[in-house]
Amino acid sequence: MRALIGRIAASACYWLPATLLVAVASNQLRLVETASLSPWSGGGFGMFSSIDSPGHRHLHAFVLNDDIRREVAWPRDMKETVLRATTLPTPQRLAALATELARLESGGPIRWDAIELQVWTVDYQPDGLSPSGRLVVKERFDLAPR
Amino acid sequence: MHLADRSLFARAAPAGSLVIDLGLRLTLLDLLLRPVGDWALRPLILGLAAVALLRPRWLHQPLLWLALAGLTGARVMLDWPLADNHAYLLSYWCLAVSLALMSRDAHKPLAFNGRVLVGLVFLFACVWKFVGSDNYLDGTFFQVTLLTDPRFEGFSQVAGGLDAQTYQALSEFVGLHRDAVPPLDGSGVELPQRFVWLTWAATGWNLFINAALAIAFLWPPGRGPGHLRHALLLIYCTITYAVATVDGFGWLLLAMGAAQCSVEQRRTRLAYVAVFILIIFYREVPWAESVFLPLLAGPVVN
Repeated sequence: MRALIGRIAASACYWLPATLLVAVASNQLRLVETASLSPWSGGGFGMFSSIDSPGHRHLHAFVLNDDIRREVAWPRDMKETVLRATTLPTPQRLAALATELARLESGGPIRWDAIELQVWTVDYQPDGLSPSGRLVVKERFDLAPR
Repeated sequence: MHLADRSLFARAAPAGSLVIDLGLRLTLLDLLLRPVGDWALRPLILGLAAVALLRPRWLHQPLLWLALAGLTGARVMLDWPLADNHAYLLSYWCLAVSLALMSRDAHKPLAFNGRVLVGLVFLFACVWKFVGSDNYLDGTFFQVTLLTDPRFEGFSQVAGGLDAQTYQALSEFVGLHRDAVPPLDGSGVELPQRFVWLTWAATGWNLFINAALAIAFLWPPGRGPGHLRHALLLIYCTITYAVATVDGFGWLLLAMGAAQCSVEQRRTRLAYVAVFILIIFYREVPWAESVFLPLLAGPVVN
């Protein structure tokens, strides 16, 4: 057993880097399927193969109560946070983003019950390139009552 | 090879005698010409790269390359999930160099890793282009990318035969969309034929060259398509990075290719250096905007 471990360790210079590449790239394929990761990201070498790049994704955020639904504008300094969340829109990332956006909207005269985040990408018709938005993920987060 | 023969802390051998030196130096030049990392990591990466390039004894120090692997890997994790693909490849490569330098004969494992890593990169690229993307094979990807990515504006105008006005109009058209509203039938735009041919040519070329590189680099070396790998990689880098200004990736691929060369392959090693320098010119000379577009526009008459 020790001899086997020794041989594996000694040969690591041959197998370890490639194994890491395959593991990360395979995980990227999984995340694209299961977590809507943009194919351009995640170390899967999908850049320049799909229109669904982080730059083509965008976020719409709405605060809601029983009567009103209003879109939220976020400040420039949240640009990177929004980019990370739209590139890999997992429930956890969207929840963290929702918390930050809700904090921006709190303290005003209107009491909001929930915040809804929608991540969109852009599709193009092959014939004529007509663009249209396609919903990638939509999540609603209830806000704690004040 | 035996790890016990060289440890992380072994005294580095004088540089210049190892055939892999060119690959190592090109990697370090890549790190210096295209610095990576945030304000915390970048000075460390630049410092290590500069020291290794300037002090030959450090060039073969496994610990230095392991530190570079760790720092470039940290950069990927801190940037998650935004890091470009070559950020990952850079980290794998620095790790491969470190492990190779710990072995008795550094050239064999490093050449193996250079070949297999490049092959796997293009294999996964093929998976995405041939199977994973629903808008690559029909040319839509390049039609949209050439009109929306500002890096390709000059190339699109020169090679696609678009004047500035037409480019602007098409770019604005594809840049507008409405969410949740399907496009009306017949609402598309008619693309100039030469531009469409350009996108088909780009699609076909990239499908061919990515597949050829994957096959050539993963084929056993010295047999069949394996003989063509250096030529294919040099052609790929010469053409691709004239258009797609992702110079860091090109330099890294060239460094990995150079590390596979034997002592006898002098002309091949020179070719890798020449294309490395060519990509520097591509970066510094906006050939499409500054050279070809004015030539095509003709003399200005006052």
